Formats: sequence, structure tokens, C-alpha cells
Amino acid sequence: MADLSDRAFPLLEVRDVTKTFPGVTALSHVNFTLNPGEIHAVVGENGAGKSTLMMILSGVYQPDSGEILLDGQPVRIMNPSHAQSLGITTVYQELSLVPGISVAENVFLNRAPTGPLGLIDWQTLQEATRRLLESLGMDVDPSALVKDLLPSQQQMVEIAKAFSLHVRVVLLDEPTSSLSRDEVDRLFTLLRALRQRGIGIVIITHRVAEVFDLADRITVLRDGRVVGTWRAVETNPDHLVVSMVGREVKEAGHRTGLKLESVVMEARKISTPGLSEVSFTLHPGEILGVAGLGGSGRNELGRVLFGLQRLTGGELRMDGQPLKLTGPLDAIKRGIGYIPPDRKTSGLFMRMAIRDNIVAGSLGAISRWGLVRNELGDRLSEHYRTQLSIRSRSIFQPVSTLSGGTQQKVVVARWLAKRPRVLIVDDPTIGIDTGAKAEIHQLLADLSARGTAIVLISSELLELFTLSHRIMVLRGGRVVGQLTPVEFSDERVMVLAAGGSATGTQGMVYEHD
Amino acid sequence: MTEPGNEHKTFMPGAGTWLGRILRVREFLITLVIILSGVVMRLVTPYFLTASNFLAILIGLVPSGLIVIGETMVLVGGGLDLSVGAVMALSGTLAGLFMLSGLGIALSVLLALIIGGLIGLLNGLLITKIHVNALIATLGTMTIARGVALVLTEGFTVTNLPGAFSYVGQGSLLGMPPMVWLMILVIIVADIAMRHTTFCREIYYVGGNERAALLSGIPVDRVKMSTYVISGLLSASAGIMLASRLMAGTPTAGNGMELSAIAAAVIGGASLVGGEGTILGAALGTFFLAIISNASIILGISIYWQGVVTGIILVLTVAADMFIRQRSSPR
Repeated sequence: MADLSDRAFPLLEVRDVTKTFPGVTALSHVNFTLNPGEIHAVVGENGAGKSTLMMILSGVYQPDSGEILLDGQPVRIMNPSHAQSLGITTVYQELSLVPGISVAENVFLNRAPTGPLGLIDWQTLQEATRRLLESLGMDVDPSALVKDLLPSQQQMVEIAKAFSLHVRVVLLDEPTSSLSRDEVDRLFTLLRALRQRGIGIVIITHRVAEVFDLADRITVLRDGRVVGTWRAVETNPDHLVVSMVGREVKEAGHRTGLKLESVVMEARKISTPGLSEVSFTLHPGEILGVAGLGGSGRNELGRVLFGLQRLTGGELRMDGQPLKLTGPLDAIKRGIGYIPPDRKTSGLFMRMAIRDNIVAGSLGAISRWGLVRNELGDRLSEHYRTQLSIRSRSIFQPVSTLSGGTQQKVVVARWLAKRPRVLIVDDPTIGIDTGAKAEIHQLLADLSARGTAIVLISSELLELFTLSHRIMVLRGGRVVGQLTPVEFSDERVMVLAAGGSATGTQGMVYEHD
Repeated sequence: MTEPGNEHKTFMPGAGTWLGRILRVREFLITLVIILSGVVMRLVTPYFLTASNFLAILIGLVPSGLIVIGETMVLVGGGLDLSVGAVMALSGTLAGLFMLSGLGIALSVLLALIIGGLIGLLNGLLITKIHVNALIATLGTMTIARGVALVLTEGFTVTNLPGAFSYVGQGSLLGMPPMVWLMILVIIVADIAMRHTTFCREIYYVGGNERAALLSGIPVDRVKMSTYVISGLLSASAGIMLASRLMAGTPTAGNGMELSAIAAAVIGGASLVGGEGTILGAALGTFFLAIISNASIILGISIYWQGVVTGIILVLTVAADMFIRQRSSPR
């Protein structure tokens, strides 16, 4: 984009922006520029600050300090609609379409052309939408209902919606997460066409390899700081991944003293929708890592082991006895625990106090004659608040006021209080800051050292490498490999997980769904 | 959107002070408003603050005071029960019809209670097992229960009930009809139960986050079903007591009661998204609405205005609550 460097100002500039939340610095002195006709990828791990940057640019958050310049002029982006009026438009990860109405109405949501009586002029609406979709090279019927479209077509409608405005900057948040390879190609073709028109595009993603060919420049964020910005031609995916992770994978020294002679849980060719003929054994005190891309069946494995999904084939055994789980209640009775990946929607009672969240699973244990003994609950919660250093004023603070990492500790505390024999953990540190992440890792390691068997499902390789005694790799619902600690490497897991050649997957960052 | 920090909220300033804490207790606020209304009424009219008027208020309060307990439990569990008023009418008329058919008073009352409980069970089954939306399920049973009551009586009131049946509603025990004592007793027991029993605490978890409750080992379906059964039983008992007071089973009784019960529960601190609310608050909310209605009558305000006033109070309460919450947790 040499011809654009003559411009006096970049199209959009972020200058020394800092944004903090209680307990967390989400962004620290971030600098970032976007030129017209440029595709600029912002990459980083979960929690690196990518989404915060995006939300600042789209007006959801205000920076604590620093400034944002549009065409060299400082602007305060007050809110998302103000961002729109400035020509900055956002395509969110979660689609914001109304499924039950037509493509045309979605594209012109609340801006539909109206006739003399204030009624919607359907003909003009259809025509305008058709022209817009054609100009963007999209093959979508304006009168089709959004819910009948493929995910990629929905994504395109989402983009078309953004483009029906006088747009200058497009922000895309993980645009490829729900798309197939073909659909990604089509999306990228569209983005290249937009670049030709001089529109600046910011893509936020953690999939380096995917955007590598597309982006003109790439900025790496780590722990809220800019590690660096490189022109795509001057760097390579491996280098970017190292910058994102920021360190070499190190071995944790807790893998000794595992008693392999006894088996606490055994799966014999278990199948369920999304999972076929998976077998493994689990020993007391063992951490079995489960790796796999989104859609590999790794989430289903966690669900089936906790009775949230029924077995359609095969057999689960616990302590040598067949285990037929009828539901989570049954699983808990057998001493199985589960920490779900979606902490906020499935893990926590957000409006309730820390104490109430911790004792949620142990009401029976702190009750006598059907009455809850509050002093026992208080003592139990206070014990875990101290032991897990849950940063809070008191056990009566609502969990909605805690940081993500602290919240996750509360969920962990709930299960510690129940002393499960087998704990299934699905992505326990997703979206958590580095400090709390290390603490939760330590908790899991300690728990396993005391004899709890842990099935650690994770979208982060580093996490798996740090904690696991073994890693089982899933692809397409099947076990495609088992790795021992000496074999742990990004490349090995990725080759197994993606099922391609080593070169095809290098630097492809492991993702969650 | 899993960046750290999205979920951060600044906690309410001054939350630690005793004044701040007390002002956020809804029961205290309503009591304050009730006292204030009493003082105002005392200044305006000598007829309000009298023992006989208070007894009249309490007697009139019995059906709604019982119904609001069940409704609140359902609301706390994240549900909604529109069938309460209709179940009240049905069980009142059924109890009357049973008595007229020669079944004894005790048996008639028992059967009417069981039928109320069964309608609650039906609500619970529809909602938990077939996953019918609570609004639709209870709207359905409401319409059916009311319809059955009208069909059985052809719209007429069931009268000529055995004289002994009047004791609960019209007799006197320590200066008040026994049903008033019963209502007070049930309110106290239910309030304590909701604060301290294991079973009732589970209702708060289910309403707070159903999925997290399930994953924490709380029997979600059983808890939800129980709240509807309790609501059905309490609605039936309200119907029976009303029948005893009026010595008649009225198929049209309790029309619109479901909405005033929800309104009272919300005024008392319950939330329509579940997980919040107390029985004491809801009872006070019901009491407050009853006072307003009583005051309007004494002041000679048209009965049609009562709906307007009740609506305004409801909207004001909820708006004030939202205002306080937004103030205390800025995004």
C-alpha cells in the first residue's frame, strides 16, 4: 500500500490508549493506525485486549486515557450509533440479525424506505437491497428469510447491513469463527473488494494463519499491550505466534508419583452425537488433557461424562462398575464434577453473593433437618475465599462485581467444597487474565495431587501442556492420538487435531468455538 | 466477548453503611410507605385508623395474601403463574358443590385442595417436562379452570352451604376470624421457610440461573414443579376461605387476581426474571395495595380509579428500583 503512505494522516489512529477495569488493565498505552484501503489484523490470545480495543473503536467503551483520531482529527466516540455516524461500522462475532424477517428488512433495519403514507415501500426496499448485494458480489435473495440462510450468507448479510451506510472503517470481530473453509474464502474475496474501494478494515482474530494472506499489516496484542506491528510481507506466522504467547512452553514439575495401577473411570468406545467410539482410562490424581478444534467433539466429551448428554453406544465404567448416568444430579452423586466453558451463563449465579455461589452445590451438606445453617455456609465460604485468595471485600459481595478470573475461582471453590473424585473442566481459564489463570492452574494441579482425577478439556495448548499427564487429541469426534509429556508440542497436537500436514497447520492458532 | 473486565461493575457506594443497607431492604421501604399512608389518611379522615376498619382490611386481604405467597415462590423460581385467580374460583365452587352433594365439610375441603394442587402439578409438568412457556401454560390452565367453574355452576353462585363451614371465614378466634390467623401463620411460616430451608433456597438458585443450578446438582425440574404445586394449593385454600367467608362458591371470584398478585410480589421486591423476592415483601406489597383500595373507598373515590392508582404504584416502584440499580451499577 505504498501509494497510501503519502497521506498526511492515517484514516484511523489510536494514540496511547489505556483502559482499565477494576483489577485488570485491559489495554495499556496502545498505539494503532489504519490506512484507507488497508486490511489490518489485530491478533492475540484470549484476554489479550483485542475485544476491548474493538469496543473502544465502536464506542461501547470510553478509553481512560489516550485519544482516537479520525483523519487526523481527535474524536470522542460516544456510543455505537455515534461510531456509525462517523463511518465506523462493526460486524460482531454474534450476529445481530433478526432471523424471522427478510434479508432486505434486516439490511435496512429501521431505515426502510417509506412511501407517502409512511408505509414501507417494499419494491424500493427489495431493489435497493438487490443492488447493494450485487455491488458487494453477494449471491443472496433479498426476500429470503435470514433464518433460512447458511451461516456464511448470514455473515454476508451482516456485512451488507454495515455497508448500506456511508462506511469508511469496518471492524470485524472473529468473523470466521462460524464459517467453513469455502465460506471463509468468499468472505475474504469480499473484504479484498472492499479494500479496493479505499475502506479501512480491522480484523480481530486469534487465527493467525487464516488472516496472514489477507492482511496488509498485523498487530499483536498481549496482556493489553502492543507487542508489535508488522507488515505481513516482513513476518511469518510462526513469529507471530511466538509474539502472541510471549514465552516458550515450559514443563510443570508435578507429574510425578502418579499411581497408574488403579483406574477411577474408564470409557469403552463411547458414542454420542458428535463423538464416536472414544476410549480412555482415567487414574486417580491424573490430569487427562483433551485437545481438539471446535467441533472435534471435545465439548461433547465433557457433557457426556457429566450426564448432560446420553450415550448412544459404548460403556462408561467407574471403579470397575458400569456407569449409566441419567443426568447431572446422578453424576454428582457418583462424585463427578463439571466446570462448564461458559462461566457466566452456566457457571455462576451472577446476582448472588460469593457465599451463595460457593455453597450452591453443598446445600445438603450445610443443612440439618431441612434448614440451611448459615454459619456453616459462611465458614465454608470464608475458608475457600482465603484458600483460593478470591479477591473481594467479603463473602457477601455479589459475583457480578468480580473480575473474570475471580469469578472462575468461585466456580472452582464450589467444586472443591464438594470434593469430587472426577472433575471435568472445560476451558477453565478462557478470557481470564494471566495472573488468575496461573492461580487456577495451581488449584487444579493441587487438586489432582490430592487424588482427584481431572479431565481437562481446553482450547489452549499451553494450558494443556502445563497441566496434563497425557493429552488425548480429538478430531471429528474420534480419538486421533495420545501424547505423553515428552511428545507435547504445538506442531504435534495441531497436526493431529487438524489432520493435515505439518506445513498446513503451522502457526494456525488453536481455537475455541 | 470474553475479555476480562466486561463483567466488572462498580459496587454501590455507601453500601456498607447501615443506612444504605436498610434503605435497600424492600420490606423496610414498604413498611415506611405504609406508615406514611396511614399518617396521611389519619389526617384526612377519622374512619381509616380504626380497629374495625383494620379488621375489614385484614379480612378482605385473606385470599390475595395467601395467593401472593405461592405466586412469589413461583416468581423467585423464574416462573409465572397466571392460573391463581381461576384456581381460587374453581376450588371455592368445587368445595361448595362437594358439600351440596353430601360429602362432609372436611372431605370437600380436602378434595378441593387436592384439585388445586393437581392443577399446579399440571402447570409444573407442562413447563418442566414439555417445556411449554410458563405464561402460555398457566394462561391455558387459567382459562380451563375458570371455564370448568362456570360450566359446573352455569355461572351461578353455589349457596346453601352447611352452616358449620362458616366458622373459618366468619367465626371469631381472639377477635378475628380464624382464616386471618391462618393467613398470618402461613405468611410467617413461608417467609421463614424461604429464608432458611434447604428446599426453598434451591428455588432462588433455580431462578437465579437455571443452567448453573442444574450443573451444581440442584434438582431444577423438581424445584420448579414444587413451586407450582404450592401455588395451586395456596390458591385453592384461598378459594375455600373465601367461600367460607361468603358462604358461597363464586365461579367468577378472583378475576384479575393473578395480575394483582404479580404486582404485589414485584412491589415487594420480587423480580420477573427470578431469583429475587421475599414472602414478607410480597405480603407487605399486598397489604399496601389493600390499604390503597380501602382508602379510596373511605375517601369516596370511584372504584374505577383504583386500577389507575395501583398501576401507577406498580410502575413507580419498578421504575424506582431500576433507577437505584442503575445508579448502583454503572456500566
